[in-house]
Amino acid sequence: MEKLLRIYLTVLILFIYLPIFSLTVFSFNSGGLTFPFKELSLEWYVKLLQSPKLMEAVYRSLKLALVTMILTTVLSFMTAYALRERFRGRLFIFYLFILGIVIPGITYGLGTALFYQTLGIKKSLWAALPVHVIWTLPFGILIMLAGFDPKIQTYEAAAKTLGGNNWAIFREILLPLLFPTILGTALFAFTLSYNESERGIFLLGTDNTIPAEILAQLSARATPELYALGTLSTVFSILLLGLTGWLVLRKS
Amino acid sequence: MAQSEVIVQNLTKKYDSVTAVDNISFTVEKGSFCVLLGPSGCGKTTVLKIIAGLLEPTEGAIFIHGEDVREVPTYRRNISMVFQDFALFPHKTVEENVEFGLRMRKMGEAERKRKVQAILEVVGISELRKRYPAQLSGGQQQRVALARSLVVEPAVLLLDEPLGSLDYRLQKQLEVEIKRLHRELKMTFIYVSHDLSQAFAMADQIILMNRGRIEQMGKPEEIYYRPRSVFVAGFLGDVNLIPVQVKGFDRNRIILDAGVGDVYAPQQEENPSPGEEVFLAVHAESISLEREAEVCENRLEGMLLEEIFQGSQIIYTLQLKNKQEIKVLKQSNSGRVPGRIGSPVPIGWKLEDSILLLAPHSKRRVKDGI
Ligand SMILES: Nc1ncnc2c1ncn2[C@@H]1O[C@H](COP(=O)(O)OP(=O)(O)OP(=O)(O)O)[C@@H](O)[C@H]1O
Ligand SMILES: [Mg+2]
Repeated sequence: MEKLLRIYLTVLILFIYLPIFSLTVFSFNSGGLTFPFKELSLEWYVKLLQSPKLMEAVYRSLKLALVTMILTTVLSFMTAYALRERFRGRLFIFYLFILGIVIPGITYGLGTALFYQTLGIKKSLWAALPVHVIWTLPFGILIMLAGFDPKIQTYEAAAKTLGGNNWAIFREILLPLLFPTILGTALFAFTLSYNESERGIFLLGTDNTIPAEILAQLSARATPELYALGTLSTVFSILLLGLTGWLVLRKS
Repeated sequence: MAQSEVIVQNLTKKYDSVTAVDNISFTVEKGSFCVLLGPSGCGKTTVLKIIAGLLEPTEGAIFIHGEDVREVPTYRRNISMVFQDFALFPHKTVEENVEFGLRMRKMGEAERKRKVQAILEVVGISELRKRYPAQLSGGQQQRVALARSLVVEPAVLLLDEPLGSLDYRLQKQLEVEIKRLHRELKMTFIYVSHDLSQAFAMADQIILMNRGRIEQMGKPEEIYYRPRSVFVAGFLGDVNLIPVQVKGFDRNRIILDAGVGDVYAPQQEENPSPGEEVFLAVHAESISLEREAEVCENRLEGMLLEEIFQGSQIIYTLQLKNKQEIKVLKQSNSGRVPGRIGSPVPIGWKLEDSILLLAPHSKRRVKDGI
C-alpha cells in the first residue's frame, strides 16, 4: 500500500514539474526545439529581449496585473469586511460576487466586447481592466473571508471599547492581523491577471498582453523565445512566492 | 446624594425571534460595584454590550453620566470593557496592549510609559511587559486585560465574567483583588457573573436576571434575606422551598398548610387569600434541630436522610412525611446532632424566618431554578 502511494506521489510530481523542466531545458538549447541537444546557450534569451513585441506585451501584462492586484485587494477586503455582518440579502450578494468564477471566460469576454461596442468604448489595455478585476475578485473575496477569523471581531470590539475609531482599528488590528491574508490575496490576483487570456482577448485591440501575444505567435509557430519567457516567468513566480512566504513567516 | 453613572431605561433587544432582553430598567450609582447576575443565556452579555455600544438596542435608552448615548459611538463613551476571553491583541506585547487605549487618547509618550508601568505594578505583572499574550497563563492574561481596561481610567468599567475561565482558587484570589481595585480607583464597575458567591462577595448592588427580565435587584443582603420570587429563592441554593396552601389568619400570622402540619408566616402588606397555593422559603441555616427546634413557632418532624461534613459546616438532609426534603446547615463546631440516619428529628424555625413567595404560577420554575 505504502509503495503504491509512493509511486502515485512520484507520478504526480513528475506530471506537475516535468513540463516546466523540459521547458527550462529546451530554453537553453541552441538547437531550439529539436532533439538531440546541440549545446548550452543563452541565444533564445537574447532573442527574447530583442523582440519588442514580446517585451511590450510583458510590460503591458505587468502593468495590468499590478493595477488589477491593487483594486482586487482593496475591493475584496472591503467586501469580506461587510459580508461578516448579518444583513438581509447577505448570501445573495455573496453569490452574486462569486458567480464570476463559474461563468465561462470566452462567453464573458465576448459579452463584454459587445457591451463595449454598444457603449462605444474603444478597445485597449485598460478596457480589459474591469474584466480582470471581476475575474480575480471572487478569489480575493474567498481568500479574505477565510482569513477573517471570528476572533478578530472580538479584538475589534476590544479596541473600540479602548477608544479606537475605525481608522485606528484598521491600522492597528486588522492590517497587522490580516497581513498574510492580504498578501496572499494580492499575489493571487496578480498571478490570475497576468495569466488571463480568454476574457480580455477580445477587449485588448492591438494592446496584446503576454498570454494574448503568445497565443497569437503560437498560431503561426512555436518559437524557443517563448520557452525562455516561460522559464523566466517561472523563476520570477518562485521568487515572489518565496518572498511572500518569508514576509508572512517573519510576521508571525 | 449619590449620582447616577449609568441609567438603563426600558431596554429591549430582539434577535430575530429571540427576545434576549425584555424591557429592563435599572440605575447604577457613581462609584458603585454593580453585578449583573443570572443563569446562562439570561441576557447579561447583551445588556453589557448595549451599554458599551457594541450592540444596538431594539428599544430603550442608555444614559452614561447623564448623557443619552444612543448616537454616541463606543470609542467616545468613556467606558472600557474586560471580555470573557480577554481579547488581548495577539500581535502586541503586554506593554503594547496596555498602552493601546492611551495612544488612542493621544497621550504623550512619557506619560504613557509612566501610566503603563504604574498599572502593571498595580496588577502585579510588570516583569511580563515584553511578552506576547500567547506566552502568558490564564491568570496573567486576565491581569493584562484588567490593566488594559483600567489604565484609560474610564468612567465605567464593564466586566463580562472575567474570571469565568480560571480555576477556582485563582478566581477567589482575583475576586479580592478586583474588589480592592474598585475601592482604590473609585470607578463605577458593572460586572457580569453567573456565580452567586462572586456576586455576594463583590457587589454593592445585584441585578438578578432571568430570561431577559430583572427578577430582583438590591443589595446582596436584600437579595439573600428577602428573595421575592421562587426563582430568586431557588437561585440562592441554600433555601428550602416548601409548597403550602393558605388556611387563614390569626393575630399577626398567616396560617399555612404544609401537608404535614401547619406552619406560619408573618402577615404581609398584601396577604394572599385563603385557599391560595404559594411557596414558603426558609434558609437552610435558619432551621433548628432537636431541642432548639422545640422553642420555635414553626415545628415539623423530619427523618434524617444524610449528613455531609464540609469542614466548617455540616449539611443535613431531612425528609418530611410527604417526601419533601429539607436542607439544614449547621456550624460544625456547634455540636453534632446525635440522631442516627433514619431516626426522627424535630425541625423548627422562627416566625420571622418564614418568607412567603407569592408566586403560585411558578411551580414549574421551581424545578428550573434549583
Ligand atoms: N447574535 C445572536 N443571535 C441570536 N440570538 C442571540 C445572539 N446573541 C445572543 N443570543 C441569545 O440571546 C440570549 C441572551 O444571550 P446573552 O449572551 O446575553 O446571555 P448571557 O446571559 O450572557 O449568557 P452566558 O452566561 O451564557 O454568557 C440567549 O438566549 C442567546 O441565545
Ligand atoms: Mg455572556
